[in-house]
Amino acid sequence: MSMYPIAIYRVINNNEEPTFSNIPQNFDHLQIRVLSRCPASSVGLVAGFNSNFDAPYFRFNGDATAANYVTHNMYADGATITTNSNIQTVTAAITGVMPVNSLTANAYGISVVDILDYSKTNKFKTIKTIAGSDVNGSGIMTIRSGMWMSTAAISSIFVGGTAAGHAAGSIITIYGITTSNVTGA
Amino acid sequence: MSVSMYPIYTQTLASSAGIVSFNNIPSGFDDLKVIISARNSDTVSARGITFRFNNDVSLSYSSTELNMISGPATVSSSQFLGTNSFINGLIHGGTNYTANSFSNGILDIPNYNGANIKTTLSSGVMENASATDSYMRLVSGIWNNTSPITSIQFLPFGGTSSFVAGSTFTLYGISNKYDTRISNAPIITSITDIAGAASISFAEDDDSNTKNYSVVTNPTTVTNFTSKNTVTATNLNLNTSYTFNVRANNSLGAGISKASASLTTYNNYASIATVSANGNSNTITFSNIPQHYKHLQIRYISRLTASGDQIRLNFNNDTSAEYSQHELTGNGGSPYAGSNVNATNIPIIGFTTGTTHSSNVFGGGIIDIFDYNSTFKHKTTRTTTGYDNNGSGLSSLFSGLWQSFAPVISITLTTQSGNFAGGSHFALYGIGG
Repeated sequence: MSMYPIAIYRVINNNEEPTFSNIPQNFDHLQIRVLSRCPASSVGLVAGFNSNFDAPYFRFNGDATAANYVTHNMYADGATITTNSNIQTVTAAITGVMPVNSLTANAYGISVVDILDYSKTNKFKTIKTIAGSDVNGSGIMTIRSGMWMSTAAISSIFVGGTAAGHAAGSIITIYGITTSNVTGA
Repeated sequence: MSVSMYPIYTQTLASSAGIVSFNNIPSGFDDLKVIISARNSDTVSARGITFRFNNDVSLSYSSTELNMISGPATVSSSQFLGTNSFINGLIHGGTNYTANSFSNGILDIPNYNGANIKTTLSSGVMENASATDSYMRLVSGIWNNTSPITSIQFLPFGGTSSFVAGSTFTLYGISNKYDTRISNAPIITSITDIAGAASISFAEDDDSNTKNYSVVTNPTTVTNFTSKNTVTATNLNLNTSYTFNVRANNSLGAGISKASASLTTYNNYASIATVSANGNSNTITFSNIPQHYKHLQIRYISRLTASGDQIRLNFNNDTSAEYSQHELTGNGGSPYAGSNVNATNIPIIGFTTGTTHSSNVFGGGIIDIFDYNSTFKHKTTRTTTGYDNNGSGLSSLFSGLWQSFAPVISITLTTQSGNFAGGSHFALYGIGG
């Protein structure tokens, strides 16, 4: 087995934003799976979509320095393909997508976030997200890239929402992925 | 039913490599996944990471791409239908990118062992701390071949640059079979010194419960994996005593054999294969060349069934214009020097005799191929060759070059004219080190 659950956070009350601390350093990659919904009824455009869709964001090791974060976004809504970016202007890495609370009830967005070599101290941390949200009449499908420009090993991850945190019922799970110690073939 | 994701093999590059390969992929899983964090050596912008299967360089691949290039943001889609010898499915970048930035990519291959055309899905990103040159790629592809996938080769697009040190590639097997217990231990039946490596044969005791097998070497703790009942332990030092353990692995752990008897590695020169001609073919081919030696050597004696005196050579069935050759020849009179560049093979790898030479006179030669499995060197050959016709003759020294980072897995020798006559022999040897 190579994919191990590290921790799970189930949002009980609206607006919660968990921090995963003391992330074990004995894995090689991390995958964070976010099932989430925004508790606000509309949002601004920081998430990179329209006012009906927000996004989770990740802040590593408590680093709130905008100069250390870069993200790029490509998304489709069934009619239009749009691209945008945040280059060292936001104090976190924006990932994924989640619908606002005024859209179809009980509909959540899903974001699968991969961070490779999170504990390596010779690399900046590159983030890849594949995410989507369908609210039975509209939706967003997105692929996002991001980078935390630090060679520090990731020991904590704050998972926020750009507008108002996460709605009750959201679930955020973090997994560690190992590689192999087999060296020849 | 639970699904398990099992790490098979990880490669972390300690130095640049023009190709990264996963060989001897175990057949005991349902799907494969490869996770890649890579960076390129050259100064261009984003460069694709291509992959192919089972060293198939034919135009058997098709793919559909969705790309995003930032700055100004460009979204594009492309399709390649049987026009490439690879799938350009992932992305990475070189020195134009922010220092310490490596790509993030995943390749999924479902049902890799089935009798179906192989489908792939890959996604990758390369980040840059600017509005320009960040890249995202999503690709679906097929390898139009129903053979099980036993190896995967990754190369930077274009074939002229390398993956840099620090790049990591991990192969995972995904199984929908839930392991309930550790496998029984295999039983080692024999060990053989094969020049810089050891071949370990073993009997499986619990194959249906096992995902793959690996061998652990003591000392040095070199670990190799296999899915067969023979495994090769590589990178052994000469004149060193080793013992071996074979492990039957699944997601719960390993059944471990008893330690083998000790083997002291004296052998550094081993016969791989010998081919004898019968006059019916104009080619001699060595294929599936083992990759655990340091160098290769071909020793031959040859005659043609037609006029002519030259033998040609190509590697890995590559007939692109990536070969060159230089020659210094003496015939007892005036020496001769010559060259061929940008050729589709090594035009003269060695001399032979033919029907214009006296009966029963053969030509001979020794061809050395250095560091044949290096992934960061082009391949250099050296040949000493000649023939004596009792009144005339040639004695030559040739150098040759194949401009490829690919390990040599096959060698094809071809006549200048006619076929190789009966009595011709070509022997391939591996040299350890």
